[in-house]
Amino acid sequence: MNSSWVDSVLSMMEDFAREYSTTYSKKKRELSASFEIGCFLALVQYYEQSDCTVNIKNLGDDGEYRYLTTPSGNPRNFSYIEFKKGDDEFELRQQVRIRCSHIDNDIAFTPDIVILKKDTEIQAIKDSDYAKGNRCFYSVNVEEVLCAHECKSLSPFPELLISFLGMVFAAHSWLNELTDCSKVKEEGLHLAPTLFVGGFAKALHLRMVNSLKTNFPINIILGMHAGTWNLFGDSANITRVDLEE
Amino acid sequence: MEKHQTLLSLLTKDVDYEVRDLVSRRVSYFHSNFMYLLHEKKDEHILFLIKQGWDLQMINIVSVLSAFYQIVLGPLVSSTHSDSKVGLGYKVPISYGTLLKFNTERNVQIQEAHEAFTRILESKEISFWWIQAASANDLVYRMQKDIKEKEFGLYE
Repeated sequence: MNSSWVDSVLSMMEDFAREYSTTYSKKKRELSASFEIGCFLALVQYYEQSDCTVNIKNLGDDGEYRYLTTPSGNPRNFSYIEFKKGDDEFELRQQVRIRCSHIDNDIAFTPDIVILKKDTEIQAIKDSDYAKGNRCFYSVNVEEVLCAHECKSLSPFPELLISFLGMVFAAHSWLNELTDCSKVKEEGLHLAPTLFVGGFAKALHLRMVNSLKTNFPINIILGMHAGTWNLFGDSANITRVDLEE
Repeated sequence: MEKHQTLLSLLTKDVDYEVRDLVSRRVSYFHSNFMYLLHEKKDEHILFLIKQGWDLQMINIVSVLSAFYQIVLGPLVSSTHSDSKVGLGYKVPISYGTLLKFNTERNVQIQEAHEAFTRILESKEISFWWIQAASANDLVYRMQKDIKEKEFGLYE
């Protein structure tokens, strides 16, 4: 049984590779990009399912969504999503740098996906310590950030989970302190700051994930590769925040 | 060459070097762990699998498929799930830089590859959930759990 089973798998996978290797043989960057876009689309669908009206802004001349792939690009030249629900209006953008002015102006970093207040100003500053002053350093002020999210196409491990907390603290000026769960509300509109992870966790790490979700205003969504794409509904077990002022 | 390495080679021969290296290292790490579980720890779960006819070669084959899925196919499939009302990712293609385009054509190709892969898993009685294992221990645990449930009814 063993040898014939193994040979059978090899034969079938050889046929599979012959037929599909051009489809799946991508560079590492494209694999990461695919995962990030999957998370981005899941978030768009979440807001659609939350009865937000959705408007795609700044499409290219060819009618395509121009996805900003690096914080060195000018966000004004790339597409983004505008949402509206009642009086709430906000934007979903990707790869936009956040200047953490609530801590210090020299602290800035770029989460994968960010939810911003509508019409957030994109700051463009030249700094001699950035590209020798030849290019603009684009950023948004942390006060405009509603929620920032990260996407990691791998199996979760403790250091990844803990470092996410640093991002949560740096990106959200509405957090009085990291364990501040005062904005967590079941009826809230926005996903709490979320770490989207491709793989599943080992049992011990799963306990750590559950503990982090209990103690901090965050989501850690595992198993995205296996199909955890519906972020809406009770089975999603999502933490939401209410950020109405 | 061991057969699981043959499988690894044929699945990754056209894959970018960095990606092939990631898959290869994961497989190698899992293999080392299987050897440890079997020969040093005498782990009850892997011993159960061996007793049920799953030898190390077969378990290594499953780990190659798992590594390939988690590093290559899974991330690609991630971007094809869109059911957005505004058609983002299919009716409204997404341009990622100048080289990558996420549109219906790409989604269909990737989903076809994914379906072909999962059909093979199913035909060889390899559970999709084994492929999602986070570690060698996890893979062995998932396999023996499912086999126990199937062979003996309830899992104790």
